[in-house]
Amino acid sequence: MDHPWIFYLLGQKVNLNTLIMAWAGMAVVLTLAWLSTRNLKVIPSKLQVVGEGFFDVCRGITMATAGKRGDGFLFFIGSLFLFILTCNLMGQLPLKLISIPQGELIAATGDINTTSGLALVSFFFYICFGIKKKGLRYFQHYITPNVFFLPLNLLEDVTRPGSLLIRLYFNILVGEILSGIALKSAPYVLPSLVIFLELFVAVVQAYIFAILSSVYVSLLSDDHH
Amino acid sequence: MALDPQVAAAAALGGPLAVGLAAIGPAIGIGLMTAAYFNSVARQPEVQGNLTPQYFITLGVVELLGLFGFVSFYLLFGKI
Repeated sequence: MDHPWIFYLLGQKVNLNTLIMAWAGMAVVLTLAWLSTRNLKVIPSKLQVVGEGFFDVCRGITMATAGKRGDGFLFFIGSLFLFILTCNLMGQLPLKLISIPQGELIAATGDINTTSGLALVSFFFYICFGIKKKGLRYFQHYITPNVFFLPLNLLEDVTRPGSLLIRLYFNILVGEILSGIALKSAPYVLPSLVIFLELFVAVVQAYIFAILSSVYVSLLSDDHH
Repeated sequence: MALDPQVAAAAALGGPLAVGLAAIGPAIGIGLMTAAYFNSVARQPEVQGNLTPQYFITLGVVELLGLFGFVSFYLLFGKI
């Protein structure tokens, strides 16, 4: 983590460790999605059952927060959940065995750039979706219940994506630091226990990120106030 | 970057202290929340489907407070 493997593209620093892991995560998600929906049948194959299970989890998230209205943004919440889940879980692979020129490979969500990107996507999505659903009346929520709440409502737009990115990044980072310490203090024994904790944290954090994004989207596109 | 040793010592003391103290509140909060969750599911098992997403939403909100301690530790870590 100390000396990341970087290169410069158009004057911007690009962190290759994260880029490799994020693209590997995308490749895994896309491959599984393609394989499980290749030839859909009424009597599903084994992979199709897995795909349907994941779909049910994603639909459960939006159904719990927005009901039937949630189907309108299920595509976004579902892809967010699957990508974060895959990236988190890939951090628990024995990546230290793969040697790269500088630094080491960690989970893509263990880098603040990835989580800020995801939080920004979520932020712009709920604004765009709210404007699409409610038109200019979307901006009305900034002055509810009255105009004196304008600063607080504006501050909320900063704290929402901010808390999303901090929560995901630091949970994964703590896991990486913890497994690093465990590896140094008692090899083979402690790391295998820490990995169980990390797998749990990975799933819970992906779920929390998706469900909180879903809550924000549904809250701000709701017509009944 | 050479730093004042007093600043470094204060950072080395304060960082772990921040993590430990910040963990107290969320620990109590998550404990209360989980106890209430289990109580209500044991009393009325059919509410579990409605309650679990709400539980995780609140878990995310409460847990963030504990992470702020780690954030301050992370910021102070550069000063050691």
